[in-house]
Amino acid sequence: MAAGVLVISAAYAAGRSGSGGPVWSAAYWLGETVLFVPLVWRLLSRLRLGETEAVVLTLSLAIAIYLIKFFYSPAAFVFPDELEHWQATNGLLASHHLFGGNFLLPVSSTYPGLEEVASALVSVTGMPVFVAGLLVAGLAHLLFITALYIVFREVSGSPRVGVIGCAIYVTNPHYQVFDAIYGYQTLGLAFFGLALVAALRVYRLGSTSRGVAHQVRWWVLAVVLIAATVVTHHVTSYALAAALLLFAAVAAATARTRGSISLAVLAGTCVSFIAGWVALVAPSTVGYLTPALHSLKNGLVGILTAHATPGGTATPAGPVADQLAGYAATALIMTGLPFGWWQIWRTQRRDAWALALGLGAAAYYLLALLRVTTPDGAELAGRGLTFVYIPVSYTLAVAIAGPGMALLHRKRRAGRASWAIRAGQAARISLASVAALTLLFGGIAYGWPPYWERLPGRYVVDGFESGITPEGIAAATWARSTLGPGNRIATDYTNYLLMGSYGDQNPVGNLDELYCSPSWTVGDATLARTQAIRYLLVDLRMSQHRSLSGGYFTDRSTACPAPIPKQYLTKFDTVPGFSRVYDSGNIVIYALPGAYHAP
Amino acid sequence: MRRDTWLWIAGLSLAVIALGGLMLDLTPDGQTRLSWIISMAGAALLALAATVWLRRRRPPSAGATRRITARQRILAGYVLAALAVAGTAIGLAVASVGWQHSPGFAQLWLVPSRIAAARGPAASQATLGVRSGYTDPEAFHLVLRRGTSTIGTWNFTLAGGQSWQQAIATQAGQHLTAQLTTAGQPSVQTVGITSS
Repeated sequence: MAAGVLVISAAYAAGRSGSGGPVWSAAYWLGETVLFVPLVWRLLSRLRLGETEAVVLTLSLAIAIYLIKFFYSPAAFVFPDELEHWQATNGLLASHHLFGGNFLLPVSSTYPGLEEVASALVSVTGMPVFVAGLLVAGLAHLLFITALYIVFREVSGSPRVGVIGCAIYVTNPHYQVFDAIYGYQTLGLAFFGLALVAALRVYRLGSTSRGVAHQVRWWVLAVVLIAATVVTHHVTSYALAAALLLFAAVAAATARTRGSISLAVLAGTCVSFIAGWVALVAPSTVGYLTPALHSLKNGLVGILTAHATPGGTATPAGPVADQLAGYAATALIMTGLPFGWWQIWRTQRRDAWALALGLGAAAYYLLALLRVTTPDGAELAGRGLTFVYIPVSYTLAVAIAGPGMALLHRKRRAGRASWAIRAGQAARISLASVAALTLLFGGIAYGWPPYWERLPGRYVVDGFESGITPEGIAAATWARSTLGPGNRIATDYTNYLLMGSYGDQNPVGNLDELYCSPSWTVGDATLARTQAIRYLLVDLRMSQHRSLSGGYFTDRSTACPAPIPKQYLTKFDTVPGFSRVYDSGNIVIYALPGAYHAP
Repeated sequence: MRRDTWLWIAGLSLAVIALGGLMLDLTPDGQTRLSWIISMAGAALLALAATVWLRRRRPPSAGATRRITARQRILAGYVLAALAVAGTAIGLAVASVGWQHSPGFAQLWLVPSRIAAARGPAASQATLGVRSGYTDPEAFHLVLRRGTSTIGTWNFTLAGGQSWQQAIATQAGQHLTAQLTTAGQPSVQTVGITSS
């Protein structure tokens, strides 16, 4: 694993130094292989696997994968969501009070768990927000995978299922990066996982004769962790409520009355916390999630009525190899799940948690359909997989640890030479390792960062992380110090992120009409006025390069020519009343009429 | 101590901070260093008391002496080797931050002084500034014009990250233009404002 981490670090370093070509791209994939395959081989080749070894393997894997995320940007936050939360944390540290508003992601200010933890660390130790963010996200990442291990281990009774389940879970498209970034979902997932473990212990209290103190402890832990999930991340708390309801329903159906009541109480607690929080503190959540819910509803209705809108994604699909890896991984999971269900039914049909996990895994088929049948299905499915992969991982792990291991280690004919037996086993384990690698590669192909910035260092105009350059950061920092905070500034996507974070401005990133025409019209002026725009930022690199991310602005579905003709971007020089107040070569900032006088 | 105790200590610490911060937010001073230290100390004491209460009936465990086996020594060697390799990978990642190729740039700005709040009473002043974003020292040539007439030229050298700034007197209705040339660079950067 450590060798794989080193190879990936070298590939990233080569990318940053400007020499990241196909060779270093291949080195990246080699690094992932070296990191993952020895673990898979170890898990599949040993018939005996102890608890300690399983725990050590799980933790090592989680740490190695977090290091990969750290290597991508070891000096500053570059992922869009990280910039949003970094800015929110700085705001909290400056104001000392919550709910202060966040121009980039307004809803996040009403889910302040992450910012509170990081700012507490910064306040007490004096460390930079970046370092505190890395520590909090890293710890949360580790806690989540450990919690998953415990759930899988305790439900199955097998350390092997625990560690295989975690190894499968890390192939989930968002585990390597998106669920490890300094974002509120990362911490929310840690609370989610721990709440599940606490709920599992509460559920099993009925079958033990432990004392009151023991029972109180798990109830208190479960309620505290549910509350922490609710105040940290909206979707994660909904997933937690859904999971608890599912476990309670299945427990009730399997006649575990006492356990099911406990789970129902916890689910009810979770739902009431969510309702209270949304009603009293975070009403903006409804508006924030409504478009995604509409899209989800339309997608599901389309699937159920067989009138799906031919799909596609918000961002380009990527190279053929990536797409093939993604489809192969999906096919493998879809093929493997029925074996897991069969095994669960055969060996654990009386265990409500195992049955519920098996049931939950069925949602994978729905997400796979959603991906290909809904316009922004890839985004929705990707986010959903963070949660659906938990039951998927368990179900597949049960299949692998049961009939899978029996198949890998079978001895066909008595009297067969031992070397032949070993060679047969090695061949079958190799094949299984290739399947595991396919899952990993498919997850990376569907995951984050997208293919054009898999190695850091290359500039891509309005690419996500790859669009961030020192020149953009300098412009944002200048705006903060010279223009003051909170100005409405029209801009493209990358500068929207930078102006909203480093610049502390109130950026508007979806006014593509202002940029995508040859002349400044009365309509443009009206739009700028109604949006209260005081400054307009032009990144001239939009006239030099196509955007690989599908667009130049926050709304990537707009029809702007690509690249944007230069005269479209320089037209502002001749608009009466516009002042060209800033020029750094590629980035120009104009003050609109009245900008100096606005309050 | 149970194997998963560390998990609950870490997880509960994070959860208590996330929830405790909501309480601190209700105080007039909010979340300050002092309020965090006091509340964290209080939470730690409460946790300690809870631990003592939960363990009050548990018999003290006898300390067992364990011998380190040869296999464990070999494992420790593997762990050290893995840590060394991972440490090298971390070192490489941190060092490579400085390897990132970034074309240099210069920032030029000309803004009425009133843009920045409380930058002086001068309604008839503007600020002309340059900042170097090059890694090495660069020579700059700056020309300021009022209408078509040149009212100032400056030649200066700035190291990376260094700034140059000048207050410019303006009169209402006048158009000021500044042009910056970086030695050895073909492009010219331009800013311009009309005083109001």
